[in-house]
Amino acid sequence: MTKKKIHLIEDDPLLSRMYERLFTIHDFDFMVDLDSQVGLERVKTEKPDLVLLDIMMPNLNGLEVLKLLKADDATKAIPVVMITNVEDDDTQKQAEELGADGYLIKSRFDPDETVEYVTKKLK
Amino acid sequence: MIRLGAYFDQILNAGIDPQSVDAAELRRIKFFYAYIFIGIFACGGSALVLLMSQPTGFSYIALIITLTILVVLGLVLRFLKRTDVVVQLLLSFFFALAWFILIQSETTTGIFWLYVYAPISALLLRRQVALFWIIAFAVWIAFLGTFSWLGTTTYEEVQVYAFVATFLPISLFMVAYRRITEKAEREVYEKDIQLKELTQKLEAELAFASRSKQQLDGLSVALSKQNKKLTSSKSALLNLLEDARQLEGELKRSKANVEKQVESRTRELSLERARLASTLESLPIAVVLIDKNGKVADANDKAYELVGVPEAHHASRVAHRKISTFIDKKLQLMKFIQQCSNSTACVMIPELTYKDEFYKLALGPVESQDSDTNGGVVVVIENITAQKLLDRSKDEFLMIASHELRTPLTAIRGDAAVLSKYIEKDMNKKDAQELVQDIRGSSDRLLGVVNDYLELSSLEQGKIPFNLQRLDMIALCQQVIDENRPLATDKKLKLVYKKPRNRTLCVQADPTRVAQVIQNLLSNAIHYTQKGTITLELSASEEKITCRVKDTGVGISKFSQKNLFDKFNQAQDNLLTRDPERSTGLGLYIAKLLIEKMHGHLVLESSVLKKGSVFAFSLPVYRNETKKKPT
Repeated sequence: MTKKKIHLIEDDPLLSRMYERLFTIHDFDFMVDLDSQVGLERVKTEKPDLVLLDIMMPNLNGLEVLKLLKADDATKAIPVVMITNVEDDDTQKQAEELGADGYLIKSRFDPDETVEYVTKKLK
Repeated sequence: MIRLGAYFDQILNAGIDPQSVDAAELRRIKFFYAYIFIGIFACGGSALVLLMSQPTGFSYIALIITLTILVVLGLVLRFLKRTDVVVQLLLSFFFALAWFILIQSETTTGIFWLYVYAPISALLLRRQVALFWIIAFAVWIAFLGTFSWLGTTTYEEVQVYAFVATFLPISLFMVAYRRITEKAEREVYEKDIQLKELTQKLEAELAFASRSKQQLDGLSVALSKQNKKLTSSKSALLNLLEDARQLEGELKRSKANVEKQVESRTRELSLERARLASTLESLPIAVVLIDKNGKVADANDKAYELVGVPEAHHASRVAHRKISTFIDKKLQLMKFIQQCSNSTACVMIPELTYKDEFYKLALGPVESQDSDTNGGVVVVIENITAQKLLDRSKDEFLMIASHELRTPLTAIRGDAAVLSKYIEKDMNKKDAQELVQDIRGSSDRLLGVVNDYLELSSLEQGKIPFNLQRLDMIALCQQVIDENRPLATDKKLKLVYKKPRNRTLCVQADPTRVAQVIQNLLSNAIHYTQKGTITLELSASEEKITCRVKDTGVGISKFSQKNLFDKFNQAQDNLLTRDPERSTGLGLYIAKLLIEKMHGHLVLESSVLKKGSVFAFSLPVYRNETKKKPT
């Protein structure tokens, strides 16, 4: 069984490193981009199995990236899970409207739960 | 003797009423008598003379004729009621007879008859006639005597002369006398008439006077009546005057009273007005009064400040226009103003932005006695920029805090998990395991605290929206129970779910939050129970659905029950004794807040130390029509 490719676009290095370790331990193929623009491009080129998208980022924020991803034929099929600490229902609704496949609150899900959630979404 | 004379006077005068004939008539009558006397006497005398000188049958005839004439005349006069004349005629005849006899016989017989005749005539005749006869007799005697003495003439001639001499002057005398008496009588008569006239006049005047007196009496009566009326009117008038004076006095008093009242009322009004004005002026918000024509009628100091009018120009027309422009063109409130003016309800505009300033407005329709402002609108403008910025900073803080606090914590937790996974493989490093566990535990706890605080902040600020929807409690409870079953099993506790026979029991609530509450209650129950059973029970009534969580745990003392649902509470009697596994003490507080925001109630139904506790919350039954908003 091939490892699933997870692409994380997250500007915080602390968290990105943590998730990398986490998912790697759980046998995922993991890539991280700290810059939203770079990340966006890489999704197009790498075509991961799932995109984990932070919302609060400089330049392009997560929702904007989501919009672009879902607008692009090449990338709109890829499931996108918002991974954020923003618990605002409006934002959540917005994300869902824009086509997000999941909304995960970082601090509410402990690491195991996070992995479980992602695994579920991959199916 | 006198009485007899008066009586015969009466007879003689019977035919003549000197009052009924005037003086002239009387004179005529008397002359007539005189002539008749003279005539008859002359005839008689002549006849007698004839008879004596030639006592022929002719003389006797002449005498008879004379007698006849006398009788006829007497009768006629008698018939004419002139008896006095008749008597006088008869007497005249008797004289003639006497004279005849005298001349025929001797003187003594004749004188004898005259002596007889004179007193008789004095009795029967008027005094004047008697006098006449006496004088006549005296004259005759004188003549006779004279002529006898003279002896010149014959007896017969003497007789004739005597006759003429006697009669003529005596007749003339009689006439004259008559005339004189007539004159006197006439005067008397005239005087009498005058007197009569005067008397008539007097009577007339008397009558007039009496009439006048009557009139006067009548007038006097009328006058006295009028007088009485006048007196009564006068007294009525006096009464009225008195009343008027009293009324005047009262009027003055009530006027003074009214003035006093007006004064005090004016003072009150001034005070009120001053109070109102000072209230309006001290308000830290702008108040503008707009009349029914949409023009600014009045504004307070803050309103002028808002549009930048210096104090000197407050209340000027320019200032009003500035405000008007601000409201109309800049804030674009006209449509709201019209809307408000037409209705009786207030229009609230919670937020209006203009030139980087935030305003909160309220418009209210004006109902007033003043026709100008009636139908107008009061506009209250509050600059909430500061508040908004504060809110924004709070929001920002929340968001940032939310992010900045939790990000590192998430990282710590994640790394700790990864680390523990790394170490898993190496079973010998038990201490390292413990270290990692502690790290994980700490980060979990910290995260829990931060999450709770942030959630609470958001809740209290009303930032968390609730998705009230149709929610099936039965399914939800089942879900939560299932999630907690492993935990219960670990502690060897029995977890029971009692649900009613309904297929669904729906409430109007936010599923996530309700789940959160049930989770909170269940985990509390599990945590505080060492052995026994935890029961989740659902029941329903007409209005609401109740969910009960019963445990057989340590229970809560009466003391702790008092502030069980307060912030930062932990159900330990001793403040210093902390429950190591309990995180913040915010759980029940948040749960209660959440339930109440969904129009429900959360209470501790009962708790007995060492026996257990029963927590229950209720939510309103879902009804199709009710679309409630969270409180």
